Amino acid sequence: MNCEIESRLNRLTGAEVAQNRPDGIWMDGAELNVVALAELMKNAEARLTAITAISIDNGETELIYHFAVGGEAINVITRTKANAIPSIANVYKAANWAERENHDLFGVDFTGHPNLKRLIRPPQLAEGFFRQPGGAAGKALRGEENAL
Amino acid sequence: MPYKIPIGPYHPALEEPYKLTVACKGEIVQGLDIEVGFALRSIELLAQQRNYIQGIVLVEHVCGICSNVHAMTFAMAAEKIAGILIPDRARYIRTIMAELERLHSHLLWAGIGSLDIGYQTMFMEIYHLRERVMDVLEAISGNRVMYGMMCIGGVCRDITDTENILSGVREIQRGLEKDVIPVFTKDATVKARTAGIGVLSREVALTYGVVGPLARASGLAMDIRQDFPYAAYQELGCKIVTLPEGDIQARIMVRALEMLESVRLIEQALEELPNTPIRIDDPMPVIPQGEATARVEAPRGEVFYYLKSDGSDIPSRVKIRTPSFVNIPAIEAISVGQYLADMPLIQASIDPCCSCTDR
Repeated sequence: MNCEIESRLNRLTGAEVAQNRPDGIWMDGAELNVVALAELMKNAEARLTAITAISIDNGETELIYHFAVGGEAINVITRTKANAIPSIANVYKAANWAERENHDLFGVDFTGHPNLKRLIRPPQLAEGFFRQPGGAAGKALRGEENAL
Repeated sequence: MPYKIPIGPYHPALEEPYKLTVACKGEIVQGLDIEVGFALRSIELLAQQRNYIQGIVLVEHVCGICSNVHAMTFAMAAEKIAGILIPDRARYIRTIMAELERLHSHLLWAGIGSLDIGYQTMFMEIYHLRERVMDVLEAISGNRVMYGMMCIGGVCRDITDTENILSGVREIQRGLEKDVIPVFTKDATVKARTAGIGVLSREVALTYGVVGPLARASGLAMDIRQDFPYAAYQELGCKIVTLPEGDIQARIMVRALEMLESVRLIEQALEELPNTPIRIDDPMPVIPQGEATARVEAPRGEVFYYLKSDGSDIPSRVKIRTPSFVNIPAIEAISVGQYLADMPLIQASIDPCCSCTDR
């Protein structure tokens, strides 16, 4: 299963060669077609675990799609363009809330989502509340001591 | 004419705040809208403003019931980035804590489920057993909830009085075998309220990506303890309980039978408890630059953490995906076509945790 999915992942348009790490297969594909990825994973009976959003430069967002098939974990990293990316909610029902949450907290526009309403925060508040830097960058911004 | 009934966000049928807007025609549910976010505390964001030691305490507050699981998964992700291997005794103690917490959570659900069925006596019986597991947890950690047992590199407290734990879990086992399981399987009232109601098929369960007892009661043989073994599950093994029916009774039975497996795991872990330190020597290990994911089987299903470090003492990204976040949307699938009067039990049957979902 592992080798088959890995080779099919490597054949996806815009995908870079997958790496094996202790916590599963990791692949970086900035130009990846996420809908094709979702269809491939669904055909392999993979479960969508989560979509992690990370705020990056120029108002863009890095998105990591985490899947699991049996005892295999697959993590695919991609990036938004103009903070937008096609929705996979029509392929995976599990993506519906995950995309709504990332729209709410990171302002990502998931194009083609059937119901891109706010999920967690009240609609009166601005989107993208979680786009604040963490780690050393956040520490420096807050003026805390011992920042790197 | 269809009409709409709001249930929640604050309602006697709900243990935690979320809102179900139920569209009905006559007595039959036609559709459902689910709203969450009433218990948002922005724990992910706050964890990106605190160091790793503070972070463990913070993530323990994601959930009041499965608090230990969150601290453990956060620690596991940090240990993966730093390449830390924890001592064997710590792995076994983590397993014992996780299984005691599962007993606590499943007994809590069984009690509330009995109350929703209208079975007060069972509620009292089960909550008596739950008190016993909470006594054991308090004896180990000093706390009834929020145990503060986890640290990066091991556990904070050792287990010294194994006899107390064993007598506690054996009392729970006797209660389960003598009262809980026979009533849940044979009692006419329980069967009438649960059998064939709120059915989630295997195919629908797959597309919603549901996890934990909800998935296993729909015939999906998935359990992180077996699929991605952590702590001491590789050595101890774990028998997965699955049932094909997908109805409320199947969910009740999966949880009840899982408790017997938890008792077995606790007994075996105590018998084979290795004689090593309980944590690594370094009390504040440096987490180097890197990223990692960690998965743990919480009482409600898979808890997933993504952790990213820039090498400083504060994580640059903490992502938390709780089991209820993927299980709650499936309430829509199991409610349509059911009686409105069954809604309190149907929504409770997935064991929704709104504090977890909102974080």
